[in-house]
Amino acid sequence: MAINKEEIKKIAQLARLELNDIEIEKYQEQLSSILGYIDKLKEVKTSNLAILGLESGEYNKTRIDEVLICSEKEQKIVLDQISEIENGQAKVGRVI
Amino acid sequence: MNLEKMTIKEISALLQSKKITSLELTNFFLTRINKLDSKLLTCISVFEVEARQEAQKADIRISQGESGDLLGIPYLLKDNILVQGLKTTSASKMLENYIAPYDATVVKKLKSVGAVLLGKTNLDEFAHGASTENSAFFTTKNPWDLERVPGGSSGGSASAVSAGLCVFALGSDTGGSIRQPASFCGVSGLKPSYGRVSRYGLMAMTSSTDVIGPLTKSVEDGATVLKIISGQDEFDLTTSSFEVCDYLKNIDKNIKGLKIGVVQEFLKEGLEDGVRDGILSAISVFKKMGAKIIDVSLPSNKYSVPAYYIITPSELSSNLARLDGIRYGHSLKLNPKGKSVENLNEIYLKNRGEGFGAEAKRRIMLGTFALSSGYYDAYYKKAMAVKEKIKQEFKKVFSKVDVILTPTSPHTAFKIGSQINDPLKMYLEDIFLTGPSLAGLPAISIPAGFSKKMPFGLQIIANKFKEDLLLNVSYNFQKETDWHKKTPNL
Repeated sequence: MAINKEEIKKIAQLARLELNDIEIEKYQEQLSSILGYIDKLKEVKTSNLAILGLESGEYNKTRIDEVLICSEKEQKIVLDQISEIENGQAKVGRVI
Repeated sequence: MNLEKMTIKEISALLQSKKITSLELTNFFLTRINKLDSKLLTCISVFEVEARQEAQKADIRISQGESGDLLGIPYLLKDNILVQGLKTTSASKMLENYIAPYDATVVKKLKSVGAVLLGKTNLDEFAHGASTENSAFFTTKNPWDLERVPGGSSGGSASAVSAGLCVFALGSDTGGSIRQPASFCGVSGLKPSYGRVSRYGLMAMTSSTDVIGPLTKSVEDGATVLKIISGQDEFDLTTSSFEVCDYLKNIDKNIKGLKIGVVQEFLKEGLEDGVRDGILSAISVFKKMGAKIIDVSLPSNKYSVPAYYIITPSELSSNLARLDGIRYGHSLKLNPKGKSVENLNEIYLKNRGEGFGAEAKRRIMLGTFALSSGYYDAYYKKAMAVKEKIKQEFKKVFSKVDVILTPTSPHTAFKIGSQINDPLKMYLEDIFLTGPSLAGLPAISIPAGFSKKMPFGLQIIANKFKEDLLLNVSYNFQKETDWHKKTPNL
């Protein structure tokens, strides 16, 4: 299916991607062409089989819901990579 | 001694008989990387200090009488697999300086058996691609022709194994990312069944088809590595409890009477002549060994690429949502001079807009579209139903045959730059490869010949968790042929 520029802008917003005008134009063209190809799927007859299940022979695995403490080394690596940090917490911009 | 051409088995024998130390071996490969990688560009990082330390530890273990298939063996790892304290970039500007806080399960397993990590290899950004041209850093070269791509996304690993920069390498395969570069570079590349190898510590692309697997100089080496990295893992709940075999035990069993399915429609249109001839010769080799060749059909395979390019972008658009530049990754500073960022949403938009490359953005957009309200049923749900149909088709074929033989790729490696502006053409690279991925089946690409001086592979697919049979069949082929022993002149 063809997709227009407004739709591309809307998808980019949903995906939290800032795109420039050249990118918007390029993706409009490329996504339309890719979706045109993907439309082949409409030819396939499919039944309403249970499609979102576990692999046969496998079962749901669970574990106790408990807090596991990670090592100081791991903690340090993680905290050192936060872009802005204050009192051991990530600092972000205004939400509202 | 041509250490760069030797298999794990051969090198391990040298180590155990103390003809060489792991440190000498590690230094040999580090020197080789230093010498050759400026033209091949296979590695994103090389860890000289850490590798020498690991080698020395392995030498102590050997001197204390310990033995092990991978003890002291130097390897390379695709750079989307985590190693604690070391840089893991996924070839993305987004994670250019990212340090992994923990070890992937496969890394933990390789560390415990004493394998020596030399460095991390290049890939298409977040494993999105079939050529390494989508790497944010550089394009890896094919060692058989430096003007051609090595394939992808595990192109760095395939090129490095082919060029003898390591003894073996690990890659990841979501829809062909181990098998296609293995074919292009003339090495053996194994995609295990989904759930056979833990994905813990592999940067998620398509969680429902991602698998880690080995790229090696022989099938036997692939079996050796698989034995070590396989198994159930409490950190990846999709790993199976199905018993891990000793894949080497029955590897040389003869294949007389084995039923090999050949998909006739795959050998018709769009196949490079040299590749078709090579596949037909390979079929004769199997016949000579006593295998029965049976024609089979996979009529829905032509829908595997379109289904894959809905399922994959959908899953990866969700998986990459975590990359917002707040907790890690490419990030603007809050209100830096000249850049006024109004609110949190704007930070997300800018961080992600700047951090992701063109293909990652294209796929995130495609996935966001397929999952968006109004399109979900027509695209995602339909693709999942087609996936189920493809799975059922394989099931039917495996009620008649033991394994399926196909070409890995319709052609040999293409020229760098020749397909980069045509994403759809690039997606069709995996025409024979996405089917087994969607069905969760094990599949291997092994060298099967040369066309216009470039190597190509054949793919063998087996039923789920039949890696032992897959390796047995492939091993027999390598006993009869020497395509896997050919190496490029560098």
